[in-house]
Amino acid sequence: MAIDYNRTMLPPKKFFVRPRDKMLHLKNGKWENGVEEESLVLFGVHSCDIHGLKILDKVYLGEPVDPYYKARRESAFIVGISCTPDEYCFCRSLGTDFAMDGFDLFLHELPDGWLVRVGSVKGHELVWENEELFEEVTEEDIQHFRECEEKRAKSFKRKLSKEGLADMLDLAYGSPVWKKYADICLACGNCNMVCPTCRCYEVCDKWINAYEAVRERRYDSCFMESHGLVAGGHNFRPTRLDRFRHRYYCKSYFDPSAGFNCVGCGRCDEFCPAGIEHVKVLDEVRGSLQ
Amino acid sequence: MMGKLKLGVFELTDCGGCALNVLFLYERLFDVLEFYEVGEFHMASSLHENEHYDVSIVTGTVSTHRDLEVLREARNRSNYLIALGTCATHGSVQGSVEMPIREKLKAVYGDESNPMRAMDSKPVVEHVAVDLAIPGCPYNKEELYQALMDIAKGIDPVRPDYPVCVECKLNEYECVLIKKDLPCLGPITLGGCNAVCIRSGLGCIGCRGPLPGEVNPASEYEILRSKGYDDDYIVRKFKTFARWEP
Repeated sequence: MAIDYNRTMLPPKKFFVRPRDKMLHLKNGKWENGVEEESLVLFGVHSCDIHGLKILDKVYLGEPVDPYYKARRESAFIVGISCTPDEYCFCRSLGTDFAMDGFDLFLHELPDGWLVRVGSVKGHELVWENEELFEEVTEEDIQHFRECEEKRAKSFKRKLSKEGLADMLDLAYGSPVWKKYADICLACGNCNMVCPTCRCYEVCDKWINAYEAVRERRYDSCFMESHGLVAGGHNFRPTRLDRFRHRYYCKSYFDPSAGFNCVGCGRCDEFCPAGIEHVKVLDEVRGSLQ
Repeated sequence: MMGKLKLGVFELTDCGGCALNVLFLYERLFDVLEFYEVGEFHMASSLHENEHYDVSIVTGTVSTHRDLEVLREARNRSNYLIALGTCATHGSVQGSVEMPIREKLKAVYGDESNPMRAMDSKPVVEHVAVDLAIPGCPYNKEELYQALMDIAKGIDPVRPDYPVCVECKLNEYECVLIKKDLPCLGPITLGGCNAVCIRSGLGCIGCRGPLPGEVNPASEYEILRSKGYDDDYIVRKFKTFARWEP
């Protein structure tokens, strides 16, 4: 088990909204519901990904509630773990480098064990039932925890200027920087597929034999030409430039009440074949306004 | 239910793999035969009914005058025509050789005579209108299965609109382009293959042809150049299965 990992390719979202997810099963001429409930422990989730799940909760647990997501979310026990940022991380700029809630237990590494924060009733119950595993926190532990967090805070190499980001984007719709990057963007959708906050999906039916089928949903990407296509043939985002820009507005501009749809995990940068960097694009767009 | 649909399978110039691959549906072929009866399928049946077909599958490129006649017959006699495999949809390897037929004959045989009445190899889609094009060398059997079942039930088959990368990520395969610097054409190649080559740790060779719409080969070219591949190698890689012409 690698508890010092940087980031997984797909975020923990995949346990709640699966990359390919069976929703319904057509059998004997009737659709049967595909919701399954099985308990699940996610161990070693990073703070940014916990924030990612909180953002997805707003989408999938808001009305109308997504029954598939809800069933899995309620049966999951989440254990967070502290991490060390690498060259892609910019969660600190977005305030997602520390989770106050959204987990059951959170483990912070100490020189001689783990400092455990409890984040839910389920977490409390687990600690009570296993009291023998835990010791009281000492002054020294708190001191170590503080030192560790301070050291971590200083080790971020990437910073996103969050200041007035939405207002900046409001003014920058016509910035030439979008075109510059849309020209090197492959529109391959990798950034969407690995994003902990992307929530778009496509629903398709598949035959499994002559008379049975499954209705399946899979992750979709706003870089696909059909993503903005509606009945009647109109496309809201007909060009790659439109689609490239759209992703940045989705992450940092639309619906400010929902906060930022970006948690600074760095996946889109790490998995972009063209090496496009989220923070750099936004910085250049900001720069083009001055 | 009404009578079964009449199915024809026609082969033009190709390796034969596409027609054989239909038989490789194995037991799932029986699902298909619940709704279809074969009227013509050279590789599977001696029937040669030469009549009306509800659905026809054509594989291969038009490379001879005989191919063109077969294709025109198939089109004229069929309600729904499927171009199956990269030869039929993009021209594949034989279609990507850029030389007029007389020069090719001369280069290979030493003279320009043309007893086989060979033509410049072109995909089916450049000669006739098709109702559905399923690329792939070989194509994904699952895609053909779903399409035939959909058509039988009166559903318009879903055409993939995404590159290989999307299915690669859905399957959580390691990115061979980024992590291993392999020459992978996944970002610019039409998906639907379920990223089968990347599953085996190989780069995508682009057998399903370019992603339609605003595909960005220029950026893919620059990425491969930055990984140390030379111009000639990249251009040949791009053109193995499709000519990249509008």
